[in-house]
Formats: sequence, C-alpha cells, structure tokens
Amino acid sequence: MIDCNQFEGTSPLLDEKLQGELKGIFGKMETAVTLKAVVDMEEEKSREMALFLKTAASLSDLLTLELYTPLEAEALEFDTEYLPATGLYKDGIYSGVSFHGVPGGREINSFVLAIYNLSGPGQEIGRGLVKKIQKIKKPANIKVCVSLACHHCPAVVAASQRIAILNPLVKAQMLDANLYPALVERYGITRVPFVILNDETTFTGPRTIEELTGMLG
Amino acid sequence: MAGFIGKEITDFTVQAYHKGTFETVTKESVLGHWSVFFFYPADFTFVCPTELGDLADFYEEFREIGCEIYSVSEDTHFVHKAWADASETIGKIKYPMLADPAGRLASFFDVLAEEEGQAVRGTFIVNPEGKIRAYEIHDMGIGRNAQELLRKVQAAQYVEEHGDQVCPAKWKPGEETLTPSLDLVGIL
Repeated sequence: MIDCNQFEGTSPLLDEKLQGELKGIFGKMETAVTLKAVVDMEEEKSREMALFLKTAASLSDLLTLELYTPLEAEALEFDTEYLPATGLYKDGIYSGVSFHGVPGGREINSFVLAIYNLSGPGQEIGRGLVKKIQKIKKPANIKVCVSLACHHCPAVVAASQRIAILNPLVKAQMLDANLYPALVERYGITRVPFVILNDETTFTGPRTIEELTGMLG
Repeated sequence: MAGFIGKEITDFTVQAYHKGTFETVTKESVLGHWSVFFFYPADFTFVCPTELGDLADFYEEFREIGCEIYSVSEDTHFVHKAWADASETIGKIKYPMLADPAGRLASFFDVLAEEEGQAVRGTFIVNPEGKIRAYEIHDMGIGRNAQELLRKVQAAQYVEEHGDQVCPAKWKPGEETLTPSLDLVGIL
C-alpha cells in the first residue's frame, strides 16, 4: 500500500466551507466505510484523487482510506482499468460502488450519497423497491459516463450505485469520461449521462432508480 | 419561454438572390427543415464578407444535417447580385441571400437598427416547425463563427430529438477537475 501521509495539506477542491458541510453529512454515518483507491503516482489525476480522498476521509472517524499501486490492484474486486479508481467497502466487503476519476464538480453529490447510503442511514427508499432490487438474479455492470459539470449525471450515478449497494450482483461505476478518450471513442459518447449496461447496451439521459431496476434481470 | 425561444416565425415574403438567380422565399419555403436566419448589416462592407464566406465554407456541412442557411440584410436582391458579381468571397455563396429592404423580417426578429436602416448581427436557429430554438445577437463589430453555429444547430437538433435531459460532453484532455458543487438539499 501507499503511505497516505506522503500527501501533505488538504485538497484544494475541498475548501473549508465545503469540508464543514461534508463533516456535517459524514457526522450522520452509522458504520465505517473504507475507500480503497488505486492510483498511479506518476499521474497527476491520481495524485489529485489521493489528496482529495485523504481530505475527505479526514472528516470522519468512520471513513478510512487505503491507497494501492496498480501492481497491487489485482487483489481488489473493482475495475482498475480506468484509473484513478476508488472502491467503497463496508466490513471488509466490496459494495459494488466505484468511482473512476476525481468526483469533483457535480459528482461530489454522488460520492457523498454513496458513502451515506452504504454507511447508513441512507436515503429513504420504499420497501417494495428494495425487494425488487434484491430480486435481481443476474450479475450486472452499470457504467455511468459523466461530465463533472453535468447536472443530470449525479442522479443516475447515485441511483445505479444504490442498486449496487442493495444487491451484490450489481456493480455500478462512475467514470469521468474526460479521462478516458478511448472509451469515449469506442462508444461515440457525445452527451451525458451516457450509460453502458453490461458493456453492451447503451443509452443517454437520466433514468430513475425504478427504471434502472426494471432494466436488470 | 424566454425572449425569442419557442416563438414561431412570422409570415413573410421576400426576394432572394440564390446561385445566380432571383427567387421568392416565404415562410412556407423554410418549413420542413432546419433553418438559420443570419442577419448582417449591409452588402459591400468589411466584416460581413468574412462571416458570409465562413458560412459558405461550412455550407455543405449544414446541408448534410438538413439545415438551410438564409443570410439576410436590408439590401435589395439586386444589390446582393451586384455584390456576388463583384466579390469572389460572396460569389462562392450557394445559400439564399434574402433581401429585406422593408425591414419586416429584421423587425420581427428585433434586429433592425432603425436609424441606420440596417440589421445588427443576429443569428436565429429555427426548427422545421418554424419555431426559434436558439439565437445570438452581436454588436456591429463582433463577428460570428460558422463552426460554432454548426455546433449549435447540431445541439438544437439533438435536444429536439432527445429532449433536454442530457448535457453536451465537451471534454478537453488535461482539463482541471471542476470544483465540487454540493447540492443535497432535500435529498438527505
């Protein structure tokens, strides 16, 4: 693992005011969450991600950060093709939620919601919907390609990640497509949110958690 | 809807100079396809040929996406022809050059500078139903960019087809990470 202490100071993306707001939200957390991040220390975005996560994790005793090199990534359960990557864990178990790229811009919202929903109490959700999500029997992967400036994206990211939190067969990834031009080119992404389901089906635009659930087997 | 957005274009009948001939253009002529009404102050001036020439260079790309260009000034169609005959840049234009000497079109689009009797630099993107979907108006000395206009028409067409629930993906590699914008009011 990489020593987090080598990152001095706080992330410039999280000013004092924002840190205060995040502290307030993280103060509602019920159980510990571990952020496991794979970073390439030669890359600026990775270093930025590491400092961002370190600063975020410092705001709660229930948030822990572990940094891994790409060579150590094989041991981790989440997709490490798109770096920097961060997987969320609870009780040592991977939640199915990962972020690829720094969750800045509007995606701070989905990042915070992922932690809140994984740790508890979580956003309110109807029992009927929870049952439907838990009845999903086929493994599914949801990649939500975003632009950090897009105000439509966080809701789709949060919805897909809530499904992943509730059903271990589902994996939900937020990808800042600005960092992955090969992915953009492969799928011809020109608008976001751009969702890739099981690396096959694609669609653009917002979907509710109910709609996403209905698409999964 | 704010300003001109969503407003349907008025009935009109004007003369135009188009590829060597004169023709009549009406509201009915422009329905059924996307249109750009491109107002400019006057023929035989300096910024205007640059803009019109720029549009001419991208004209085929506009046509490929089903969009017609209509340049418009308060000059008559005869002056348009004279300009095309006198200027190599204008002579290469293949889109209709509308003549609006009575100022009716310019008045409808609110781009008529009445004292000068000229139109300011207004660009209006109109959908196949005749409704304005985007527009920009520049002061006299500020030129416009045809490539940017093409992008806007494409964006307008996309939104028309897919609704406004998506964002454009204008990524630039190496761009700085956007400052976080926390907004969870009513969500937590």
